[in-house]
Amino acid sequence: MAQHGKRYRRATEGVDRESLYGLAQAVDMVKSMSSAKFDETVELAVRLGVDPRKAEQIVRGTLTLPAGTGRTERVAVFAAGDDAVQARAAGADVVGSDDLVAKVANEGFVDFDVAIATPDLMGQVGTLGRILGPRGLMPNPKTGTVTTDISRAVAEFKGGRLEYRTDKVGNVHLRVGKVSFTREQIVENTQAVIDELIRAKPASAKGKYLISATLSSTMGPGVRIDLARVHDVAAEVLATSAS
Amino acid sequence: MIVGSSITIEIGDRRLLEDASFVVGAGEKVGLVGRNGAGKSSFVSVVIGEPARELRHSGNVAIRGTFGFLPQVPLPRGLGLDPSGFSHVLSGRGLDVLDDAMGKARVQMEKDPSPENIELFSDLEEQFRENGGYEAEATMARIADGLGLRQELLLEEIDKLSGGQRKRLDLVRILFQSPETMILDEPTNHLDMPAKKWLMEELERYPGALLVISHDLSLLDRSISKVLHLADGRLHEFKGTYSSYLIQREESQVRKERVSTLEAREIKRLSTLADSMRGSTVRRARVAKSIDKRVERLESTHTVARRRERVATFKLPVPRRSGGVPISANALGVRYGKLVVLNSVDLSIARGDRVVVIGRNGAGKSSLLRCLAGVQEPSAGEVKLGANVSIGYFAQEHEQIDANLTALENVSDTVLSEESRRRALLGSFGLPAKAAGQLPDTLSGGERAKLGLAMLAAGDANTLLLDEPTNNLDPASITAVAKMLSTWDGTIVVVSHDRAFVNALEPTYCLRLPDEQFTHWRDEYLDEVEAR
Repeated sequence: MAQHGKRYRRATEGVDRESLYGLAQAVDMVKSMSSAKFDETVELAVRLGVDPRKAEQIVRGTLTLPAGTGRTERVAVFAAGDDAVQARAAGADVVGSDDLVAKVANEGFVDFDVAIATPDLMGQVGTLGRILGPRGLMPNPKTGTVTTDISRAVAEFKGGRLEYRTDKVGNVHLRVGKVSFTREQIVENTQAVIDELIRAKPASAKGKYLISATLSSTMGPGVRIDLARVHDVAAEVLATSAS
Repeated sequence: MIVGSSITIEIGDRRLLEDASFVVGAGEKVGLVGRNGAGKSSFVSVVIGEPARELRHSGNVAIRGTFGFLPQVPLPRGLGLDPSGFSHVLSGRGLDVLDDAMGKARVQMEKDPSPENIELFSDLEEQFRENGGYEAEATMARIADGLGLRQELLLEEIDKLSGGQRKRLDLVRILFQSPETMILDEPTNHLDMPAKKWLMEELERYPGALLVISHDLSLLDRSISKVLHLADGRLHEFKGTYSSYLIQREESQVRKERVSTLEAREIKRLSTLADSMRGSTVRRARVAKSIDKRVERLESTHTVARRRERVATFKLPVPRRSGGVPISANALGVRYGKLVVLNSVDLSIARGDRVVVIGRNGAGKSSLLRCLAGVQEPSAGEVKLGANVSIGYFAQEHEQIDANLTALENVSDTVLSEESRRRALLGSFGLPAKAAGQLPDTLSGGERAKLGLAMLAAGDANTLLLDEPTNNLDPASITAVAKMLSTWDGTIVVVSHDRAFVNALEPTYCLRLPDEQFTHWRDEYLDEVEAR
């Protein structure tokens, strides 16, 4: 197994990996333990009590973080005519129809984080399965990336809309900001994610649903969050910051 | 996870298993062992719920979660949507069907981009991604590489693959499928040593439950947690690794033999004492009667030690003298469509020669033997048989055995005219007496191989063409076959990947494929024997 570096080991000295921390305290710890030479992303991993082998228990969807992600997504739009004009106006980075399909197919162009398509172009976009599929970039109506309301979709993804879904063992991983964010911003985003996951709870999920949650920075150790107190602490923090 | 209870299996008038119960827990790796014909494959067929028609069985078996089964003999066409190896492997995760449905849905979506058509396509694409469809080629390539199967063969039609390649393809499929429970029947049969080691390492890492029948269990020793030993209709369970099972079994056998001997001695002593007391006084007669009762009690609880497996010895009849050159081939070529398997083979085999054909899977070894045996027409060149030559052919998949005749009926009566001698011959090759009346399909792989060898022994062949004669045989039988052939005076052409067997055969010549070089045997060729 790979060994951790000095910086990581030093950081872990301040964390009890078995203890549960309040959300605000966890955010402070993650921020203080970040020592990389770049603005690290703050990530949230939530273990859910679902059986991801059952299709009806896959938790997935999209959400927009109230404080944003701290990163501007590169959005590609497969659209023609008026839709293409709307996409450009909304701030899409790459817009095209046949030409974009050909560029992806022939040159393997995938320099974007999100792909959005209008329904009439899905027939052509579908041929790009071998290129877009493995990167999770295939537009899908369930994630709002196949739509006729192009300008709204582009604006939302540019504004920090995120896709999430359970992995093979029932965990959901999402970024909830940057280390440079304020404590309140990260708390607000984390609370929004937890709320969204509770909203998306499958009806067939049995037993405890939110099993555990861990907050970490890109290169820092994880800090376990006390989920029972997320809302109390979040409300308290947000109230404090408002006053 | 597999749970079986009160399982009884019978075939014809043979009881293979009686009232057996077992559990293969989640993540547990269990080896199933027993001599040829003990009923291992029949047991597994009942476990997976696909018993042969001839089997009668009772009891309950439940497999929890997904499971995959690797049969000893590959299915002829494969399970994919199209007849290619690629499709067969994809079918392990249902990706062949998904890929096809996705293609159709995409065409439909192109014609009519309605919300329903887009949703259908998106759902299928999602399932395809979930099941690892996009990584399928890379995963498949990694597994094929580990097993020594050239990747381009995955695109070939299954029917064009050789026996060894076909078995490897099935292994690729089940490892690609990666189910929660894996049941493997002789997975190492066609593998060379590096591939065997790779497979065993792969199985060690496999997180699910594993039930494996193999004569190479020693390679999986570290990760085996339990051994089920099938013998005399009983399923004995041994906890621990394979090597600890071997020790435990020997200790248990020695203990039982000792107890059995002591009990027999005591029974004899008491019986003699009782006999000496009879015919005397009334009082002594009464004592004798009470001793008799004690003897009866002892006899009813008498420990029976399992009979030790006999050391097999097989024998072939002395062959008639053939001409000086029993077989020769001139510019022999074989092609299947565009695929050239043999280009131009020239060989001349002298009486008494023992020729080993060496080559990787698919090099054309079986095709060559079929041409020499006259069961396949060569695409080019010719095969000449010398004077007074009588061929005995042992096919890899035992095609020489008539599936509609019983084991006994398959043994030729031209030389052995009396049925009792033919039965004795089957027995000498280790087939149980009751197997004589069975159809070949109901025999185990090892028993079929033994029947094939017995058929050779019953004929008057003086030139044997043997294609993998040791496949499916237990180690003791392999040694016996090697010994039998090495002392036989006839001419032998053999295809085998078994190093120890070839070594014991003491070959005189060697045909190396695909170079098509016919040369004197040299011991360094032994390294090439194992290469698949």
